[in-house]
Amino acid sequence: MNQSFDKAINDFLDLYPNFTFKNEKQSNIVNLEGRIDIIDINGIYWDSFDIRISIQKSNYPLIIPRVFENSKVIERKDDWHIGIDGECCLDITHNLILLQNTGIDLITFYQTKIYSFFANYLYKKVTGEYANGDYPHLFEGVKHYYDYKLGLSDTELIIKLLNCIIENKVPKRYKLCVCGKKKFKNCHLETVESLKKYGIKQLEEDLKGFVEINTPNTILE
Amino acid sequence: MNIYSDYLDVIKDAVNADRNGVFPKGLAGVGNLNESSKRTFSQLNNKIPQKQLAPSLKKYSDLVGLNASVDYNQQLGSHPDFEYLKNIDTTEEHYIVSCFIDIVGSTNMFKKFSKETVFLITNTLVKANIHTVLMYGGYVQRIQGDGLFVYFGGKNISKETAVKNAMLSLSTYSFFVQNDLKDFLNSFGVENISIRSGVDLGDADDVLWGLCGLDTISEVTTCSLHTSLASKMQSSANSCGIVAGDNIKSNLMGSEELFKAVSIRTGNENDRYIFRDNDAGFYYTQYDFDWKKFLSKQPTVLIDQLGNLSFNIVPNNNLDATYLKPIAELSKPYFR
Repeated sequence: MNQSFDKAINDFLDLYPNFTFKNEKQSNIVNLEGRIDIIDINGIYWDSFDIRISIQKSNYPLIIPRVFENSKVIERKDDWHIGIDGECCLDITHNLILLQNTGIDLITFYQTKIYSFFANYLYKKVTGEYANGDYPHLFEGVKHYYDYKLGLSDTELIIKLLNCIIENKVPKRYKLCVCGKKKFKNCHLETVESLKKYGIKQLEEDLKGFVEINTPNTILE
Repeated sequence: MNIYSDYLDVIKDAVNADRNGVFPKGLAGVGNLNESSKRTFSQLNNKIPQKQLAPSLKKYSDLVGLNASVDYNQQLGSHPDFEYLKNIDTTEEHYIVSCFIDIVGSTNMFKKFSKETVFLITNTLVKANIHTVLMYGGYVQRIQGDGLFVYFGGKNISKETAVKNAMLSLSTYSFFVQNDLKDFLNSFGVENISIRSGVDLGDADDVLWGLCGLDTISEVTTCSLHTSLASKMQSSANSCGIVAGDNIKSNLMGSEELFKAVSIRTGNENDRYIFRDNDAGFYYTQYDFDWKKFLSKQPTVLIDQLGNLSFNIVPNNNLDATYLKPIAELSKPYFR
């Protein structure tokens, strides 16, 4: 029994009693189903959505819940960051991995990731744009993330850095950096450490994307 | 939308007037109020309308379709369905839901405010309570200080509906006291203001209606174990709590998880039963009622980002994105 999970669910249901707990038989997945009411900081009600929060039980809190909009209020279009099945793209995968690495608090996740996603949808409906912008779609979003979060915009350099991590060929601190400019410890050591946090699986996926855009005549989907 | 904002405003104005010396504290030995203070007192005391709900509550009541049945012409001690008993030497058996609602700690207000201010505060609380009861189709039997003795139910209403209305009324008023009033009075050093409610249902064979008293000094009332128990259970309630009898639990459909035996809270098994008849083998359980959860399950009540209840059910036509932005900008969505 995962006690921290049970406590997290009970605390959540105490605070948001309009959600109900649904445990699928012999499944590691638990669902919280209910209505999310969007009310602004001035106490004004905007709209409501029926949602399902799907939570992996065994690894809690080292998980990222998946969120589905069941009421179909949001049009299933890429621009609204929602899949055909209603799954909401709360954030770029890389940020969610970082969150998963440290472990989530379910209530905080609801308040900062889920509630804000639906508030942001309503904000865009009224203003025409997201309050804090949104990531470009698909791999363009990953490129954008590498640039603003890691300060990496040179595709060839990114490929070198990713390769050295994936192939377990990270230079020693005092050796020459993969970029060939300075000692590693004074160059891209910190960046490599940051990249490692996303895990090999994600880095391999990223590498594939960067290789594709770096190959002449490649048309990205 | 704060559905009790008009009531709270009167209380705030009264407290502000008190702070500004409009109502000199009686304990200081000051005599009668001057004309200006009398005017202020009268204005505040008459701010809540006599024959309709205050605008903020009326708006909510209209939105959820409650206002049509409000009866402002009730008279204390004379439930309209049983008032005929005043003129006939008989009694009648009929079910009723009895509720006792009392403000706890109001005496402390005399330490901080003049008697005029305390009067305005308690009178406004009584008015807010009465309006809440009327909004949910209840009947005020008696005003007891700053508390009320209230009935829900009658000839043309089902037992289940009466129970639900009673719980909605008690829960909504508890919400007001806990969320709006307590914090405000606390900020003026009036601590431990709270509300306690007791409620129970007596079935027809357990409730005798009749005229009690002498001539004009009388009221049509109930003689029932369950009316007595409702009063007793009120004293079992914790701060802003509602304690309900087993009959309420049995008649509030689909809400079993909202009731927990009082003994669970107190840790004392003696508190499980509010009434014991060992000879008859009759043991009657009292329950703490989770009114927040009950309200949150109503389609007319919302829950905000932080888990606070809100009664603002209809989308506002003048939405201002400025107030949504601080929440919305926490999100930066991505499509993969």
